[in-house]
Amino acid sequence: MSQEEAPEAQESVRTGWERLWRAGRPRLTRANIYITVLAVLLGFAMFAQVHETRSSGLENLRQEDLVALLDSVNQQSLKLSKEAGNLTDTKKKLQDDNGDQAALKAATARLQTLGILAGTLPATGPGIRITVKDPKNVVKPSDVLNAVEELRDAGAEAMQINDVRVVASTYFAESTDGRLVADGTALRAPYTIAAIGDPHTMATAMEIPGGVVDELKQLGATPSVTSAQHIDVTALRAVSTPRYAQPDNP
Amino acid sequence: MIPAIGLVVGLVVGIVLHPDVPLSLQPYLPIAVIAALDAVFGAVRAVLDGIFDDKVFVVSFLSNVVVAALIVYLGDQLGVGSQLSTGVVVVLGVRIFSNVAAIRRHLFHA
Amino acid sequence: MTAPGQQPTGASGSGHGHSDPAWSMSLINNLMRAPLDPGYRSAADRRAAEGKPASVGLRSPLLIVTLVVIGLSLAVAAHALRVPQAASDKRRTELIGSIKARQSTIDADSRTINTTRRQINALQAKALQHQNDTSLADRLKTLEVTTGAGAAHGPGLVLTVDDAPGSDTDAEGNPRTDTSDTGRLTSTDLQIIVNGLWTAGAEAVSINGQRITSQTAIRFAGEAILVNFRALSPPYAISVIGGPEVADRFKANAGGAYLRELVSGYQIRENLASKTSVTVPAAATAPLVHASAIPSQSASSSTTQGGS
Repeated sequence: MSQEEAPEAQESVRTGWERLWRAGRPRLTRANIYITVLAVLLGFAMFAQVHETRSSGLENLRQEDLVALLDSVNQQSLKLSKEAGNLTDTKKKLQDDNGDQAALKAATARLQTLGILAGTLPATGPGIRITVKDPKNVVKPSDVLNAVEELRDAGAEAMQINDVRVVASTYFAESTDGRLVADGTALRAPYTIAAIGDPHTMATAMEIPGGVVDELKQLGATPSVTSAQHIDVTALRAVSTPRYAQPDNP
Repeated sequence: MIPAIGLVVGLVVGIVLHPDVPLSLQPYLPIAVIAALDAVFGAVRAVLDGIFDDKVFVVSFLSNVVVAALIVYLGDQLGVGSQLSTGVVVVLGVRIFSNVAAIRRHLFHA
Repeated sequence: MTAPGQQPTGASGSGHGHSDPAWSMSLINNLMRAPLDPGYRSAADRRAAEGKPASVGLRSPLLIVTLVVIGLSLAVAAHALRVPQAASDKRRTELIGSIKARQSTIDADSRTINTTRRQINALQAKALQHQNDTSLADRLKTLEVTTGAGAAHGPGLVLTVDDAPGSDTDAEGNPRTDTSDTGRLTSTDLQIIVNGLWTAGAEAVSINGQRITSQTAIRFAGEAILVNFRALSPPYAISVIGGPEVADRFKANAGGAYLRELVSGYQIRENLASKTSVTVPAAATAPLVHASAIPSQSASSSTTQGGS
């Protein structure tokens, strides 16, 4: 039975290949156009689906988180568009005839902003003060880090913890004898975090259920948050020139 | 033509009035919809085959919906409601596809 | 009185005996071959036997009433089942849409800010040169690098961390995995890793092109990690500018130990590559709204507010 069928099968294999070859040649027939369009659609749909599955960014957020994020993004956007407008004005002034004076003025203003951000200038403004009593020495670096991140998220513009100014590169670690260390300086309880920013937003962020205050309380520390119209952040960071990071010159 | 208008009228009335369905009935709705669709596609095919009968249509529709709802209800009582729903959907889905294929052959010869 | 009483002996294709080798598939075959209610065929046969046409017309009131009922139930079912889901989905889609729109505005504004800033810096440098005061320009440049307000480059490393294999979002984007032991990196993980990098002496850090500044929060919302209010997706490439000792010090400190624990305990993937040149982008700094420099102690003579 198989002997009889063998040559026929071979025949059909060959014609199969021939058919495939003939069908594979690009020709401008209606069928080919239909098939091409369908194949393009299929490819597009596959890519879209894969892309949809891959992009695990916003799609995974809960609705509350989305609302909160939209709020932050809105605020950030407003601030930035204002800044963009300001900068364009400044540029115009600089391009004017008496640009030198304007340049000096703009440069000093910029120096102040950056100085506050870099921690080389003392700053003042409305904000909150968080005092954490820690008699049992339970506060770990990660807890302080968490508090600082929450404050940053709530829009803190300048911060210090005890006598250490908190800037971008501030790190928290634990010394060998179990003491909390910030930027190489050992911190002594009670810890006081002073943060300049919108007092209401920051205080709310600290005191939400499951937030920083709750977690510290669970650990056995006693945190307290006070808002004030004048918070001074006077701890300074030494002006230092980076050794490795070079500015990208225009 | 008139039956199709009837279907549209029903849809429009439902959309306009959108009555509230009791929560206890809601698990049966998807299955009922599938069963109804199966009956409708079966009827269209019967029309094209030239063997349509209105009484058979009505009875098949009602029995489809009732049996589907019954299966889901029974499944819910036994704790396998979702599996049984899947089974019903598969069976009715296969039927819908086969009937649509027959309708397609009738109408487009393809 | 109705057709189902009769057995569908005449139904097409269903009469195969057990000799069919594919008998085990007969359920599916039956479904595929005879999807039509057998009642139609038997009713037609009965009518044919009585000498009437096989098919009845479509104008029977019973049929029309039933179709109205079907249409009604379709609409009701669709309405009842669809609304809550669709409403929340629509709201989500709208939210995501407006967030994305806002973020692209932010991107555009950031680009404007950065280019305008560069132009201003050039103009300032020229102006300050006229007044032989280059130290101010230098100080600005240094501050821009340390605060993250300016792009920077230099030697350093790129640390890439990724979720454990297989912990990717499944096709449904299933958000059931809220426990952190699923091999998915959290914001806390990134916070601790970045903290370890700063400890090791990093001078500038960015994650997936988002520069870490003093105002940058790395936070977690739902399933996503947000940096600069931007949802990042894995893998997370952490670019670090710093000396050659940063890599070793990071491996030796708590941050490195934490990362090793993630790798061994949760199959988190990491790759640390030293580079001769790493670039980190500028973060668009918003003007300070609340903080102002304390004038008496301020280093410069001007009393202009910081957030002009």
